[in-house]
Amino acid sequence: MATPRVLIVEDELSLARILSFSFQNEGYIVARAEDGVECMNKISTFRPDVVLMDLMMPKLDGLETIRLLRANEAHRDLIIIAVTAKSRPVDRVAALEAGADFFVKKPFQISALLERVGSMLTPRGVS
Amino acid sequence: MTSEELDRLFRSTTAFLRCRDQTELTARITGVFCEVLGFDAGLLRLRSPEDDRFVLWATTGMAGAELEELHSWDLDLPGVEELLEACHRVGWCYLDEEAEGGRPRLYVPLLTSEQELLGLVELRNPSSGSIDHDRLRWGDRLAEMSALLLEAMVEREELAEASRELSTAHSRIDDLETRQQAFLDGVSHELRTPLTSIQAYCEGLLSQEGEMDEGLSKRFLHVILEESRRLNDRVEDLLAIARGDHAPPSSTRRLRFDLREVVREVHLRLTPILEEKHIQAVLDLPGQPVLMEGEREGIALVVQELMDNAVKFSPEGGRVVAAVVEDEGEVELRVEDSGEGIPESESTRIFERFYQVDGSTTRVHGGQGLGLSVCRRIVEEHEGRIWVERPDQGGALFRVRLPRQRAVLRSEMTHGVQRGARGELLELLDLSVAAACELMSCGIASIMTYDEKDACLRVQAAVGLSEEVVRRTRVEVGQGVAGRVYESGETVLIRDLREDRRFPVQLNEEQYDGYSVLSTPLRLEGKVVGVLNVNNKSAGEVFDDDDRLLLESLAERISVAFAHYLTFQKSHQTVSKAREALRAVVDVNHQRRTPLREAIVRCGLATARRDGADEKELRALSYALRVYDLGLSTLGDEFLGRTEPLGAGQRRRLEEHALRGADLSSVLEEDRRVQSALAHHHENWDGSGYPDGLAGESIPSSARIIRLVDCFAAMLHGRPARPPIDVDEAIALVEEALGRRFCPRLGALFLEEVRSRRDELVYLCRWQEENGPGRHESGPQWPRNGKLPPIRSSLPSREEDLIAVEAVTSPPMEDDS
Repeated sequence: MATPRVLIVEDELSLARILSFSFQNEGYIVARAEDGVECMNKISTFRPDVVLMDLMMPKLDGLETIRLLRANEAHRDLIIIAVTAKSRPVDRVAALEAGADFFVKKPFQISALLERVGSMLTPRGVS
Repeated sequence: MTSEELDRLFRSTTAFLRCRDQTELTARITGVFCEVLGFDAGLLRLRSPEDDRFVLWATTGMAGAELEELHSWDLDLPGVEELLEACHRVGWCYLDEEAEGGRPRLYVPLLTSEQELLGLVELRNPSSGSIDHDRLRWGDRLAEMSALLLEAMVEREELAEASRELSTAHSRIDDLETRQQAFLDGVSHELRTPLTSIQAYCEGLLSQEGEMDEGLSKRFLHVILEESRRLNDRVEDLLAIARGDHAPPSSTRRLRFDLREVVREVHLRLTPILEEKHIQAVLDLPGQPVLMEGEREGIALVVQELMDNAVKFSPEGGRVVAAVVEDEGEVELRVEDSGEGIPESESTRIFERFYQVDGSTTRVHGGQGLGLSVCRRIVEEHEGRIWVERPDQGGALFRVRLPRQRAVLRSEMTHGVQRGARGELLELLDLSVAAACELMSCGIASIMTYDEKDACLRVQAAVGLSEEVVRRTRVEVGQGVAGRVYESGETVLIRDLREDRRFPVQLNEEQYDGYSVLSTPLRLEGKVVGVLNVNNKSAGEVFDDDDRLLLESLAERISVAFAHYLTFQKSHQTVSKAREALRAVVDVNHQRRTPLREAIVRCGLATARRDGADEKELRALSYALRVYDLGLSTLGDEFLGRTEPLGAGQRRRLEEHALRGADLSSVLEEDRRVQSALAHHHENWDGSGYPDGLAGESIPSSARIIRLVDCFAAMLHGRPARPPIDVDEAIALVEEALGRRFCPRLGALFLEEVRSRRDELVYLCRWQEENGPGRHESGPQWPRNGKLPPIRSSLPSREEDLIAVEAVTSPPMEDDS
């Protein structure tokens, strides 16, 4: 059974570090990208199961990156989790419409996030 | 009325209904009145709701002089009543059978539904030579219909206007909402991101309790602390916005200042961080002051922010360039860094609140989201622009263009002036009022000239007055201060307008801080053509007779400049020389004038007075004393701030500055008085001075007085290698040099004056010690009642460079003997 892989796309260094630390602690293989462009570059070599995507980022913002990912047939099964400080329903809808699987509002509880990611992976046969 | 006439009437009146606006409608009404009542010419005046004047809207059948005459004046309500009273009434019409030239005129008043006078139709030249009384009965019907239509048209235009306003308001609200949302998104991002980190690290610590090694948990705690601080910074930013900080109220006093000084101050403040990061800062500033008018603190904030950012975003060992450039009516500040540059897509967003281009580097650079938006706000408040260039390349270049805030000029005077010449005239006017402000150290200066059309004096250029005031002000010849000055050709000096019985108080305008006014005539070929006014002397001071002399002598020179302009076709070069001279007058005063120097200058002037100088000589000296160092502006930076001795070549160039000053100013002089004073103010009594080595009485007496003032001022101001000396020491040194450097007779008189003002000079020296040399407007006020005000510390301004120059041009006293 393959170890699940997570790509953390987050421009805030400290937040990216703690996310990476927490996911590694749970046994995930983790990679980081600082913006949408880096995410697109790493996606085919790293081949993650899950992408944690901040929406407000420089260069290529999160929504745009999600759309690009979804436009590619190869990433159809990728689990994309949108992370953002925006909290209006329209922002949530925009993220889901762009192709995110679910939406996490900053600030969030890491344990809850881990649980959620875990449960999404289980049906696919990953423990 | 025949059927043809009826048909014509019907056709013309239905045409009313097709009129689209008031101009078209009034023209149509005038035409129909003429046609129906049988006249060849007619006109229509409408009452303006703002000031009750009856303004000409339409004419028909008029041309040439008749038309011109009509345009030259409006009627007021009493005027209309008077007109109608002189007539006899025929039905609804008023007939004046004995109007000008015995030709009858007919007036038809137009009344609103509330019976208010809305307008007046006037008809001239009956078609058949005489009035057709039969037709006049149509007058009241036509008047009623016209009034109704006009009222409807006004309402329609008001409605259209309201609808336009509504739709712009609507789009503004839309725009505002979008911006507000963007702002809120920015805020929540900025606040929630550090919060998320804090929460996540705390969770991390808790979940690993006991198992985590100490180093790691310390690092976690460190991040939490760091992020908390960042959160706090953001909250501070937000509170600052909420409090309206960085939002200087628009009433903040606008000052004239040198943009170079501001850049130098900011550079000085940045020195520690520049050294720490090994960043080379290059200041590329022009040699002469770059004067602009505005809110100094605000502009300083902009410079600070841009330079801060440039340092922040440049790598270690990088380079930051700050440059000031000036052209026509604008000054430009450029700040260039050697960082990564700014992506094209971000080049406008960075000026929005809470926006950062590269969020990923926040922790390296610290926040900058608020700064640029504040910069933009301040720049826009100064009616300037800010933008970033060279996006997508390394080394961002920020550019700020600011208007120099020139004098408010009315365009009427330039009618009929050739295109190229127009700019020159405007610049001359601008420089003239600027020179008046600088020389007189006052807040308001204006030039008024006689306006043939309005038969009154109107403001042509002003500093310190709003456009509204400039546009509105009309002074009748013989009335008010300016009107009397224009009529009599004599300067008027008013110490306190409230107490001066000659003039009723009219200065209720809010822009007047003081009640002291000085107004002097401007002459061309001996004839008075205008008036130069100054008021709002700085620090609430009162103009005195010395100020009168100075203003009169400036007015003489402004007159000369304008005379050059009027004979402009003869020599373009002369006008630009005149302009250059006026600009140098502004600059040299801006740089050099300090409260202390001004007091010493007045001692010099008093010396000449006691020596029996006549009015003309006093005027010339009063001016020469303020501009004698004009030639220094032609010297390069190598003379600034140096303490070591000069080489021979430098010595010669320095010695030439006196002649150059005389040369520069010559274009404004009608006789040689000022020029010779300027040329010889470095001559010594014993013949050891320069440029000509004149001795004794062959040195012009005004030059001898300037020599005294210049040296005395240099001693009290100090120089880089030598601190200032006190008043008594300086007196002793001058005394010692009488007969060598200084004229013994004038020197003795000067010292008497200095002694009589000793307390004031001592006070000013002390003030300067506490505050730095200081610009005059922020300077101390020597009380005329002899009581000393307490010395308060205020921000020093950077004048060291200038003092350094002074030190070079006025060699130390001790070198003499």
